[in-house]
Amino acid sequence: MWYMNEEREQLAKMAHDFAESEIRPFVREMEEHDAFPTEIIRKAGELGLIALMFPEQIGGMGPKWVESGLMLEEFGKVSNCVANAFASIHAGCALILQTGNADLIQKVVIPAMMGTVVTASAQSEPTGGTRLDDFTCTASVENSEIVINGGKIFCTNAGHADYYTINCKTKEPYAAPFGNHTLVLVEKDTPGFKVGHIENKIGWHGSSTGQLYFNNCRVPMSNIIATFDMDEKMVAAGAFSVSILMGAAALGTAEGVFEKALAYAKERKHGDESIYDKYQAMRHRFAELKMEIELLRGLVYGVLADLDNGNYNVNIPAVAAKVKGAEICEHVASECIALCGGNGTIVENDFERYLRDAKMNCTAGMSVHHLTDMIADWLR
Amino acid sequence: MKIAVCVKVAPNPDQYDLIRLDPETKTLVREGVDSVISSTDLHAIEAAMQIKEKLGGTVTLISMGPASNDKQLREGLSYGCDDAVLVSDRKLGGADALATSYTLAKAVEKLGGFDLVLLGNSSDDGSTAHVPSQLGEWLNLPHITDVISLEVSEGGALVSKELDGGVNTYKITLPAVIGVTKRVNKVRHPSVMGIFSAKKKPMATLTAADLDNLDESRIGLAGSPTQAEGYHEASFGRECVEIEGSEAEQAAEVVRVLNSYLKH
Repeated sequence: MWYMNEEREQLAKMAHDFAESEIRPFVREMEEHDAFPTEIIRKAGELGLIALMFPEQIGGMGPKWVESGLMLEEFGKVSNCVANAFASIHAGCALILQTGNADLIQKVVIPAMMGTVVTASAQSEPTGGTRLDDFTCTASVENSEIVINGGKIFCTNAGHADYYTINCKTKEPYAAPFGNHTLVLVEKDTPGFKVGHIENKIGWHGSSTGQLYFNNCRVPMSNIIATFDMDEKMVAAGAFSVSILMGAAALGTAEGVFEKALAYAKERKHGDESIYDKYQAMRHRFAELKMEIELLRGLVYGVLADLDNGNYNVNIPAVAAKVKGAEICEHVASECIALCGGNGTIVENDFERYLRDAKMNCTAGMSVHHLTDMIADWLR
Repeated sequence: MKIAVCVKVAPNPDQYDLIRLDPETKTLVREGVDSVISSTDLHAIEAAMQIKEKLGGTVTLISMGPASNDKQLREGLSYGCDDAVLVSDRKLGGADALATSYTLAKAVEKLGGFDLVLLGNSSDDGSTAHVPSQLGEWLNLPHITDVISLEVSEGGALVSKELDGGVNTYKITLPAVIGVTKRVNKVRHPSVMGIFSAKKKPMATLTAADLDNLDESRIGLAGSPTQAEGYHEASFGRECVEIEGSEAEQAAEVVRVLNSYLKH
């Protein structure tokens, strides 16, 4: 591939070996007990894998975008859920990194990069979803403290995170330097903060998605990550990095289930021939799926290479990689189940997990409809 | 502690189904098959790294093979080894285990000797398990193979090897040559930093002419007493035989068929 070199090949091999030896043996436990991949994250941090997504200025390796993509692609081949757990580490720290707050970087981002703490970012609310104007979770200033009241839903890593980034509406009246929204860091076990119901989702069983409640939850002013007049365009501007990382994970997931189904089709005999060799219709379906995967690969690594070259004007293709990644990995997983016949439908054969996990990509990290709407807005 | 690890670059075992045999040369046709460090040699690298982390020192990788093996040596360096030496020369081509061990011994001597030479007990492809002992003999050093545990201190090592029905533990003086099995440790993943720093580490190439007092009749094809006489391809086809007769006759026939396979 045009984006590969010897170093990247080694890194991809290392990520592949890590996925096979550390992630794959964990999948069954994750599926049966909704186990969170804490130990996998710690080991990846120790090896410097998470650091690929973080800047050198804070002790990271880059960010090295193509390398980060290779890591998530390899992880995604084994588990879309675990791959996205790594993408969410980046998402949980991105806002703190953007502000450059040295204390919070030291306290949260560096340990997250080392895999020793877990972060979460909470946006959605019961009313209005991620629509900023509808937020009811508020932050106000009392006695030199920030007081948070309200709730959040669909928070990824709820109950497992050590630090939560909460996007609050600043309670009126507020004065400069406060803007209409305040991003606040809340540590687990802070009085007044409670994790509520953990959702039972269709997929991503190793990812904990749940509700957060704040009842006069007080945190020091130093926990303010940022406060500014936030609008939808600012949210959109921050969407590209998590979108492209999710796109890389989706690419891996599509490849993972495709290779599994192709191996089955070449082994499964009808008469003295494999079903792959015997049926042209089957070969053509595999060929069609492969073409979709290669289209996605081109899009994903094109954006990642652009980012490595310092071209950050990639909002549309980066968001497209998330949207198309979600569509393609779901389609490939669904087709692969059909191509493997009855065996494709058996839970133990592990095809359906790919489909359930793929489906999560439609909503997690902003829904594909929201993102499509953003692209449409950019085209105005 | 100055440690050398001899590594062999072999076809990727995951792609053995792609390997073909050339009926003329009776050698493997590796086209389209990736090359990797033989898996047991990775355990030798891991053992060397653990010793280095405990006692300090350096780990040098030594491999004999074509120039393209530098890629796998870089990968070996990513585990934390300090430098690598590739012994590469057309004259060395076609070497069997004996010629390989002789050449590696000459390379070890050329590099000034080591406190410890580690290597995988056997390779993924040839799997003769001859090289560790032969290397020890060429170097006139104590050597031990089939090692399943290894504890090294300055001046000596405590090693265990598996035998039929038990384990023997030996004290061995250094310098020595030790052939390890996969049971000796769990191989770490190379770190990202290890991968990025590997390309900056020194890698040298030695040719036959660089090796001191080399007896050219002992290297390459000419120095290899083991030659493939012939080959056959194993058949993995399934065969169904219907056994008829009374139950006793069927049982007797089953026993006869099983015995016929045992005699192979």
